[in-house]
Amino acid sequence: MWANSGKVAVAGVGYSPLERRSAQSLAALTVQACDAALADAGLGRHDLDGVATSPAMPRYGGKKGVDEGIDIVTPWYLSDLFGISGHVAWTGSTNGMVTQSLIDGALAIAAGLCRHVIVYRALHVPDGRYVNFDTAHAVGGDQYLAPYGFNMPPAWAAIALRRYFELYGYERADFARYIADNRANAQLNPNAFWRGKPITADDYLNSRMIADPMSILDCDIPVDGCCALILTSTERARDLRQRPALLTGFAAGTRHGAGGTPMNMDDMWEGARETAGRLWTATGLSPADIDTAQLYDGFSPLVLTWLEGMGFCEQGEGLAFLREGHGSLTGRLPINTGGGALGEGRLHGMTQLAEAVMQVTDRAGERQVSGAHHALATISNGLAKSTAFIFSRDG
Amino acid sequence: MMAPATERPLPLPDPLSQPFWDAAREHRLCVQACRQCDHLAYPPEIACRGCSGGDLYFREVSGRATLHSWTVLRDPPSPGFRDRLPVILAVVELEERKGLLLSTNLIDTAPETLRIDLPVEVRFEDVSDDCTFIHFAGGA
Ligand SMILES: [Zn+2]
Repeated sequence: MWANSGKVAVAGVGYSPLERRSAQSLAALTVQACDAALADAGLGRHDLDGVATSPAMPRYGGKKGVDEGIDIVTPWYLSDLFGISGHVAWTGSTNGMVTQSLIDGALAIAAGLCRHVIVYRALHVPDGRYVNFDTAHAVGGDQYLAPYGFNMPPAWAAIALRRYFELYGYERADFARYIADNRANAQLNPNAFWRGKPITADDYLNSRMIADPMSILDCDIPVDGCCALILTSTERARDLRQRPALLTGFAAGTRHGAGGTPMNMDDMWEGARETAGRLWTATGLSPADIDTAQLYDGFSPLVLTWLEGMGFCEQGEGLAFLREGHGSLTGRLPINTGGGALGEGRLHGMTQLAEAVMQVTDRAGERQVSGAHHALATISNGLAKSTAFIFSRDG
Repeated sequence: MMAPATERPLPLPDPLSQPFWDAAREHRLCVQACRQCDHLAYPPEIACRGCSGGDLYFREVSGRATLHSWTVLRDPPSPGFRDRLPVILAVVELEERKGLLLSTNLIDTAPETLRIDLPVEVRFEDVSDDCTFIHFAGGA
């Protein structure tokens, strides 16, 4: 067990509006989300002494925006905007996924370095297409990929999903129920980009193909927006405005893919299984203890990677599990109860973290899983930079 | 500001990859091999993942492989693919080692014939005087 299991908690959650192209700057959206998280916790800007994020713009090909406040918001800039740069004890910036910042922040609290840490992720949709490799040359790792059109992440995911379909005898129809139910969950989530736009299984089957078998409905939609979480000690959190969500434990994925292709399902399974092993060891829990699972779904096949890698299903059985409705809100293991990233918009895993927190604090409204005690959140694709967390009810 | 490219992106060799692309120009497919432990790697790396040694060289391989997975694109992934649709993006496993994967395009292969483990073979496409792409074709 992690020595500090249950001693660090999330005390507040905040969102900016999530819009396709916001009229506001990313800086303004970030301030809104962070202020909302602070207000949720009953704290003010000057209570913060730790600020952490992963400030990169995840664009493939084309120009990667680096303008502060427009394309990215670094923790140093945010501290300055908040007028706290003179007294924060620590600012953390990871170059992986922001969810690693949550580990850093939790450790800063547990070690006594910080009292209140804010972890946020701000994402800006670049001009033009997110994915458009329009340069004449491909350098570095791209030289082995872009000449063949392997410059778009949905195509990487398609390679993984096609192999899964072929190995285990599935087709897109087997995913349709889960995708439609997931969108139904988003209807119950006030933050969701796709709220007000339910879909049917037929809509999924007829949706525009991006990279067969990945359709537009298998990919999360890039949005302008930000989500923020406030971390503090469980002891302090109990005196704040909301019921705390206790961090029971976490694990980091460390497996480096074999190369040759960006997303190899076999490597992803292996990485997810390793991460799972660490998580169950760190928490003393097992899959049977989990009441709801928030499984990263920037691309739909990643739900399968985690469902199977975490040990809820045998390898190859995850899609049958979803096809039977076991992952739906009223199913055996409610998955992505707020609609996940597919329903909420692209926030690089903050969706999964925030929803896990809402579920174990009874704040999920119409989508509440009754009495949810332990909520799992997994982020990324199982390989290095992936993370997994268990948040638990207090008491 | 530079005008957007209209051709497929050309690989820009670096010191690590130069021998690989040079071999491709001679229509030879090479992967990296380790003198210490004989581990094979693609793409080339600075150090061996088998033994973490650094005594690596390029070895020609047969060019025979099997299909690991694929996707068929009907929209261009970048402007240079506009006249080449549909394009089959494929990951192939070279016969020299299990798990030795390579991302490529399948050419002269009908999409409806694709299946896991389909035998495929390397094909070289000279795209300019100093650049050759590595493709594969099925039904060999
Ligand atoms: Zn070696």
